[in-house]
Parts: sequence; structure tokens; C-alpha cells
Amino acid sequence: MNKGNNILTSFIYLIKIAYRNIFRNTRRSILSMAAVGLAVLLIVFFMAFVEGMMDSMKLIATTFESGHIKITTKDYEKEENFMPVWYPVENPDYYIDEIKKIKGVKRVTPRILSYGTFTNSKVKHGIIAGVKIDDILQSVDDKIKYGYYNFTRKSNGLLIGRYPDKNENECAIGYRLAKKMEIIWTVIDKYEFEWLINNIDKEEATLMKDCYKYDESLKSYKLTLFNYQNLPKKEVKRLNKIEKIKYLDLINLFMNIDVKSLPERIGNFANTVEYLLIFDYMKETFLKSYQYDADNEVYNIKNDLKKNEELLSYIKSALELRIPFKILSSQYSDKYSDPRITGVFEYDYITIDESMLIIPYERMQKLASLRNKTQSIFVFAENLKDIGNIKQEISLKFNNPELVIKDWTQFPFLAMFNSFELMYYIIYAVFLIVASFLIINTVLMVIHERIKEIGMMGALGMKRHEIIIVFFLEAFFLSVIGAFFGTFIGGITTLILSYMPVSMEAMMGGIEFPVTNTIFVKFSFMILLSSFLFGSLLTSACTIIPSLKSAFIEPVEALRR
Amino acid sequence: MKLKSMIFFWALFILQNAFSQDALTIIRKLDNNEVFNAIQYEGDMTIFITGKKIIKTFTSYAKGRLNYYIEFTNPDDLGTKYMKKDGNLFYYSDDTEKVIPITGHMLRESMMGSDLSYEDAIENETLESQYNAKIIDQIKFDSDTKFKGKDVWLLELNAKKKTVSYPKELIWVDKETFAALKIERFALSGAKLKEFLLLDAEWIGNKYFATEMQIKDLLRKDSRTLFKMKNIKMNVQIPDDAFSLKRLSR
Repeated sequence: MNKGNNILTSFIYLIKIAYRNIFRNTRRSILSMAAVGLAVLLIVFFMAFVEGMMDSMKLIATTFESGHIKITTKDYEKEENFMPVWYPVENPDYYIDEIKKIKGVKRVTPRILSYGTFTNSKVKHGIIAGVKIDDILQSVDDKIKYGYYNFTRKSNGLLIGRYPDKNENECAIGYRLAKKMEIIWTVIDKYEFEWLINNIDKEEATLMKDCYKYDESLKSYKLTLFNYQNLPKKEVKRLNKIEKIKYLDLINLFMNIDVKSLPERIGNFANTVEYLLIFDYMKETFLKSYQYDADNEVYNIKNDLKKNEELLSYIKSALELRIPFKILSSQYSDKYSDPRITGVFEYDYITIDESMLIIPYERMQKLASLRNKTQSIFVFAENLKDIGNIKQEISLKFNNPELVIKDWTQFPFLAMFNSFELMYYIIYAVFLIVASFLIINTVLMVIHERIKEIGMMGALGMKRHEIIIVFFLEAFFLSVIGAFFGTFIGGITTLILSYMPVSMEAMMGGIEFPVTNTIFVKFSFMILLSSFLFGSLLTSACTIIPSLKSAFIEPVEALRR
Repeated sequence: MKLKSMIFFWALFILQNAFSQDALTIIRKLDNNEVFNAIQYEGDMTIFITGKKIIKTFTSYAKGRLNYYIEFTNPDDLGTKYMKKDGNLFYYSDDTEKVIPITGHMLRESMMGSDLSYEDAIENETLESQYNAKIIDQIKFDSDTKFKGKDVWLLELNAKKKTVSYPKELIWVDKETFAALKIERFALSGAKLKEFLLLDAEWIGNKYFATEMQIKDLLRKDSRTLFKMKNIKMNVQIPDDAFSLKRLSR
């Protein structure tokens, strides 16, 4: 008992000596602590950033690609990259109903995705997604963060308009896709423009006049948005923000435009005329109602024409914003559709934003000739920890060898990022080892400086291991105090940053990041604790070897110096 | 020696011209085989792709080169209609609720999942107007069809304009019937893109009309399409409004 007490008393004594030693050269101690602190601060920030990025990616992958659990078929699995619709899951309603009964399941939803060919000349191919619209509308769920299609706004991603009605031939389009496709007329005939202005309200007319400028050589109005030439990057970025809003307002205007009168005159290259002339019956009605003036290249409305409801309906259809596309059905048939655009969305997943058209699931199921079948079933759990159990229960319940039941961790994209984890720890260790050099240097200098003192401590009866402990504890205190301040400052910084979305596009100088464009730096006590422990322990460990040096100094030799 | 050389080159020139003349006559006859006032038929298209076999049935009528109508009758495609009007192609089905013109890059897409593209289906121009032809060989036809062993001219066709879909074609023409027994279509790079093989044909009036053929899109893996026509009626009465787009959407 006495022996134990003696050890404790002598250890406390050694701690006191080590602690006092820190203040013998305050400037040097502060410098050493600052080095460790800075390294730990960097680790906290780097960890918070990487984990934030990983979380965003996981969220995106589970929301758009994998769900928490995804059910498909074996054949589909082999050709997943081509998104085939001809390897369906039979009788999905049965599976959905049964999966919903499993404890811990939050949401079960079927989806059908297919590559489509657009008739648009600017963008020829894209992805047509058949999604349960109710799931998008009602799904924003804070707990499992499902339904946050746009993480920055914490919304379902809709910028303007609305998601399509499940009973209508409608679609929602990604903002970037809409821009690339030039869904808004870029050139409008002079008379057509004037007629449109007269059919819309003042505010809308101002917007049109603001966005289109008259070009004398074309005798038409040209869209002036996004036309940046020889402008500095900063200015382009600023203009892009402003013009994006205008462009969305324009899309909104065209989505809801409702003309009430026929144009008095209209140029022969007007968008409306070009559309009407494609279809023989529209062409016939149009030419009956208008007289062509070859000298001025315009069509003039005939005097006796008061109202022509049929022609007006044709003209209205020419103004509708529609995206005709074709998909290959499960029976290898061309299936065309031309849904009317009802909304524009912007997701953080740029790959989807610039290629996807969302149509109601029921319509996609019909187009793909999938009757009572689906391409995939997405399962979302209340808690990520339950996924293993839910997956196992689904497998046991259905015992169907044709089904492939995968959880999100099995997706190659996420597995790849998870495999980077070891690499991140190597990077953190490098930070700390570099910072440790300063502490190692400090310890070595201290030993060299206090060599006579070491000799005296030895001569007075202090044992070798006690001398080592004194030097190690001094280095340990420097590490712990430095790591503490680094963690503290890192914690405050990440806490503030966790409320601010970081745009990858802005960070990478305008290069769009295809996977996740918005990242929230993650604030977590686990990150702070692990950074603190990792920082203080690794740097302390680095000081063991120089501390040992003190043990090999002979007291007589040391006193002689 | 000089005179001999001159005679040789003159003979070669005359021979070459004579062959060119023949090639022109042959493709004119080939073109002529495909021209008719009005035709009506039923058909089926069997698509073999990645081990699957899909059968599509249809009824069709056509007037000249520029107007035709095809309506699919198999359950999955019931109500799917295509119409070529004045050389332009249109599509209608109950899903679209309106007529969709098929233009530009869409024409290069596969038609109804078959090995045939829309471009192949709506060929408006004659071979003569699109290609320069020359006979490159006179051989026995050796593909494994009922026409194996027939004497054929092997024609090489090179496009006159850059806008032609296939810059080069090879055609095996039956000397007896002037039917194209096999057609190979090439890209500008020289890669073979399509292969048409005549499997059956019958005399309808004075025309030897292809009734069954196999089409292979060589850019598609493991795929071929059998195209069969039956109940063929030539010179039938087709009403003037049969090729109206309004009728298409009915």
C-alpha cells in the first residue's frame, strides 16, 4: 500500500516538475503548442470537410441512385449502366406492400429510368425518369434526409412551377438541361414578338423587352441572356446569377402563356408559322386565314376573319413548352411522348440536373409497356443502422433467386469513396508528424540546454525512467494543450461553416462537380474528439524517442560539461 | 509498240465505259423494281436481340415513293402509327396524344427496336440520284439463302453527295431478275454498318418484289431483324386523304 502511495506521490511530483518546465521558455513552448494546434485545426477542418462531402455523396447516392436498399433483377444488374426496362421486377405492388410491413421501413417507392432520345437538336439524349410524384411532394423528411433533392435549399429542388400531375402528360425538367436545350425561343420574329407582348401583362412584357433585343439584320428579336464574350470570370459569375433568375422567369412566362387573339401579321419565319406549316391540317387552316405578302415576307390576317377558334388552338399548341422524346419499351418498341413542361428543378446532383426529365411514374410505366411491373424498388429505412436487418428480412421473406437486393454500401461509387478512408488517416498523420518535428526539436533542445540539470537530477538519486518521464510529460503537456486549442478553434470554425453551404463549382473555379455540388462542412463532437486524441497521442508518441536520449546521459559526464 | 499501247488503253476505256453504262442500267432497273403506284400489304417484323425474339405485326399502304402509312397491330404496339407524307415522317400513338414529326438526328434511330433505322425506312431518293455505280465483279451468289448459286453482278456504289446516309454500298444484283440479293452499307471510315439479305421474293406483275428479308445493324450486338410481307396488293385504290395527318391522329 505504502509502495503504491510512494509511486503516486513521486509521479505527481514528476508531473509538477514537467508542468513548471513548460514556463521556463514560454516563447518556445507557445511556438511548439501553436504548431500542434495548427496541425490539429487542419485535421478538424479536413475531417469535417471530407465527412461533409461523404455525407452529401451518400445522401445523393441514396436519394437518386441506390435508396437505402434497392431491389432489381439479376439481368438488370448485369446491364444496369444502360438502364434497361426489359428486365423488370414482376408484381411490384405485392413486394411494396410486404416491405412496408417490415419494422423500421420508412418508405418504399418504385422507379423506372430509361435513356431517351430527344427530338431537340441541341441535346439529343437524356434520362427519362418515372418517379412517384407524391413521393417527391410528401417526402421531405428531416430524420432520414430523404427527399432533399436540393440540399442547399433543403427542398425538393423545384425552382419554378410545379412537379407534373400524375394524371397528365406533363414533365419537370432540370435547369441545366432546359438551358442546354434552349427550350425558350432564342429568336422571335418582329411581328410575333409584338403580338406576344400585347397578349401578356405589363410586368411580363417588361421582362420580354429586357431579355430580347431587336436585330435589324434578322428583323427579329434575339435572346440576349447568357451571351458573355470577353468578360472577366467574376463578371460572368455575377451576370450568370442575375440572368438565371430572368431566364427562369421567362420559362415561367412561356409555361403559362395564354394568347387570346390571332396576330394581325406575322413573318414567314416566325416560330409559330414554322410549327403550323409542318402539319397539313394546321397549314391548311392557317393559309385560309392569312394572305401572304411576298414583298414584305409576312402573312397578313384576312379582313373578314373575326375569330378562328380552331386556328387559335393550333397557335396555342405552337406556344406550349413541350419536350418530345422517344424511349425503347420493354417490348423493344419506340414509344414517343411529348410532355408539357410544368416545372424546372435544380438538384445538387449535376449529372441529373443536366440530363433528366421527370415524368409521372404511372405514365412511364405505360410508356415502357411495363403494365404490372417495375424496373426497381427503392426502400428507405428509419435508421441507417437497421438496413442490414431489413435487407435480410426482405431476402428471407421473398426468397426469390431472380431478385437482387442491394444496400447502399454495395454501390461501387460509394464503396470507392469508403475505401479512401485509410488514405485520409494517412494524410492526417502526415500533418501531425510534420507538426511533431517542432516538438521533437523542442525536446532535443531542452535536453541539450538542461544537460547539467539532468546530471544533477541523476546525482541526487533520480532514476533514469523518472528523468525520461519528466521530459516526456513536458512534451505531452505541450501536445495536449496545443491539440486542445487546435480542436477548440477548429470546432468553432466548423460549427460556423456547417451552416454555410460550400459550392464546389465556386471552389473549383467554375468547374461543375458532377457528383455533389453543395457541401456542408460537418460539425460533430466525434470529429473533435478523434482529432484531439489523434493529435495529442501521435505528437506525444513522437517525443518518446528524444525523451529517451535524456536517460543515456551519465550524471558525472553531464556535471563536468 | 506505241500503237499497241494506244489500242490497249482505248480498249480499256471503251470496256470501262461499257461496264459503267451497264451499272447505270442495273441500278435503274433496281430503282424501277421499287416503284409502284399504290401498294397495300400486311407484314411482320421479327426482332432477334440478345437471345430474345420479339414479333411485331402491321398493316401498311403506300403511294409512290413519298407517301406511306404503317400501323402496328400487335398488342404491345396497338395504335402506333407512322406516316410518311411528301417524304417527311410522322408518328402518332395514344400516348403522345398528338402527331410528332420525326426529323434530324431522330431519323438515324432504330425503328421500333429493329435493325432498320427510320432513314432506311423513308428512303426518298432513287439509287441513281444518290450514287455513282460501277460493276466490280460478276460472280455466283454465295450467301446461304434460296438464291445461292445465282449469277450476280457485284456493284459498288459511291455517294455523289456528302449528305447521303451511307457513303458507300455494295449490292449483289441477280442477273436474271434484277433483284438486290444482298446489300452492304458502309460508313465514310469504311466500317460496315448494315447488311440486307433477301430471303424471298415473288413476281407481282412485271416486278420481282422482295417479300422477305433479313436486316442486320452491325453496330448492335447479337441482333437481326426478319421483315416479311404478305397479302400484297398492287395498284389498289388509296383515297386522297389517306395521307392526312389529321387522319393519322384519329
